[in-house]
Amino acid sequence: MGIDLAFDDHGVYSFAYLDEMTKRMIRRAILKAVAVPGYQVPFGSREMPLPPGWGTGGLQVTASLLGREDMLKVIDQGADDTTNAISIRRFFARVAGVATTERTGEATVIQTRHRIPERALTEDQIIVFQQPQPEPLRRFIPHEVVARKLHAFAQYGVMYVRLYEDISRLGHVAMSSDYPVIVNGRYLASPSPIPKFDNPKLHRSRALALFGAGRERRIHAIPPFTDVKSLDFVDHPFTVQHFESCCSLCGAQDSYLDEILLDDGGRRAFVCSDTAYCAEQRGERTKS
Amino acid sequence: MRADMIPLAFRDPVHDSQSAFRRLLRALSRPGTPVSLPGPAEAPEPMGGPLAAIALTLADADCPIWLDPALSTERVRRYLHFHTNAPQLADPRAAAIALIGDAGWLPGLNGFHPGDAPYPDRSTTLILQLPALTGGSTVRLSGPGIETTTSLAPLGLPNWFWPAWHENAARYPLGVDIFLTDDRAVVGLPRSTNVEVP
Repeated sequence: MGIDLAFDDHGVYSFAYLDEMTKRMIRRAILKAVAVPGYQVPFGSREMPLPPGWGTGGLQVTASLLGREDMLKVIDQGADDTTNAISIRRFFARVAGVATTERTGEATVIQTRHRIPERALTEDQIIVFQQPQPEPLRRFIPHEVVARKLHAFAQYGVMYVRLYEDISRLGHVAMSSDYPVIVNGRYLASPSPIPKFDNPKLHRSRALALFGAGRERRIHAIPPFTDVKSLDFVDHPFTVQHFESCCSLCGAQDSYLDEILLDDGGRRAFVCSDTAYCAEQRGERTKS
Repeated sequence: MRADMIPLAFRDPVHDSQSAFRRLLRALSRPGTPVSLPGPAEAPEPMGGPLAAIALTLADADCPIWLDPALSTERVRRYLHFHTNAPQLADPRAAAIALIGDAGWLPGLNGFHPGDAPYPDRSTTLILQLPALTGGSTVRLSGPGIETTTSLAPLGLPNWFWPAWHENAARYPLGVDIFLTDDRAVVGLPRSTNVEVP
């Protein structure tokens, strides 16, 4: 008689992988994060069956949110069909038995790495960001105690100096992703490495946004209808990327584009980074 | 049921507390809007279903709680001790969650922890049980989570409450967060919510 090693039965795991006490701890942290938008709440990050840097923070936040009725969508750089997105989607299908989808409109929880879907999110959706570095001051202030004091006093001059130095050297702010924002007029926050193209989508969004940083052990949040201001100067207002081309598959002119090299001769094309949006524009059926 | 037996909590602890948490998250990210919150199978008087559900969802050995005199009965204490194992403290400032059965007992909001400047999350969260979430005098709320403004008229808040809330919101990002409950629903009131008393 052999030993049954059938691990595809999600019954062998705690629901959504984490134990109940861990989920309660993360849930308490999420509620604090929502109450103080943009403030990074420390939490006891757990070891996950995925290396840090692959979305362990987002994974833990999602695990604490998910229920049996949820419909989960996972994207990596906008795409539903890349390795990271597929593994995380399969992980939750296995350990929580939740339904998954690629359609932005029908998801209740969307876990994302580095993009916000093009299709506007609704108030019944929660978007969970995988975030490598939640502390926008870390590049200048390696010392956690000092960074925390600057947040306590709302002293963000150092970030404005960074912007100013870019402008004086290059004529523009040379940050195209992870562009810092002020949330609810108080906390300087990092929106995770989304392109700055996506920053305006965070401003007064209808959906709740949660950011999980596993290695850095921080959770922060942007509730719906919250002011999110990308840092700028009066004479150098914040602007987003502008594309000369349109998507070569669906023709969309309003979406964030990825550049694809086609051959050794340097021919190139641009396609939508949001694969579900692109498929929708083409009238294609996406997988549910 | 025998008087010395501990009443039942959630029938399905994993999924009932998940569902309760999502309702709390919805309530806190949409301040002022009541969200229905089913209670556990049983809860000892005078705990209402939603208040009991919040305690069972959030409290555990790492989350000390404080009970106001109205809730501080032997049956409530044993129920919470058995089901959550949360330390029950005598000092409300040291508690992560304060369960309040009768707002009339409270002298104000200053007795609770507002958090520290570097760690505003170390504040007390109040669960305040009221006779009803409607039917009182109307106030207007605005802030994160609210598209323009929303009105709220909870019944049974003491007179000092809204002026005290105004002070609480004024020291943002410090301050306490509150969940108001009645016998069916919960309303979230994070410290980021501003109130206007007409």
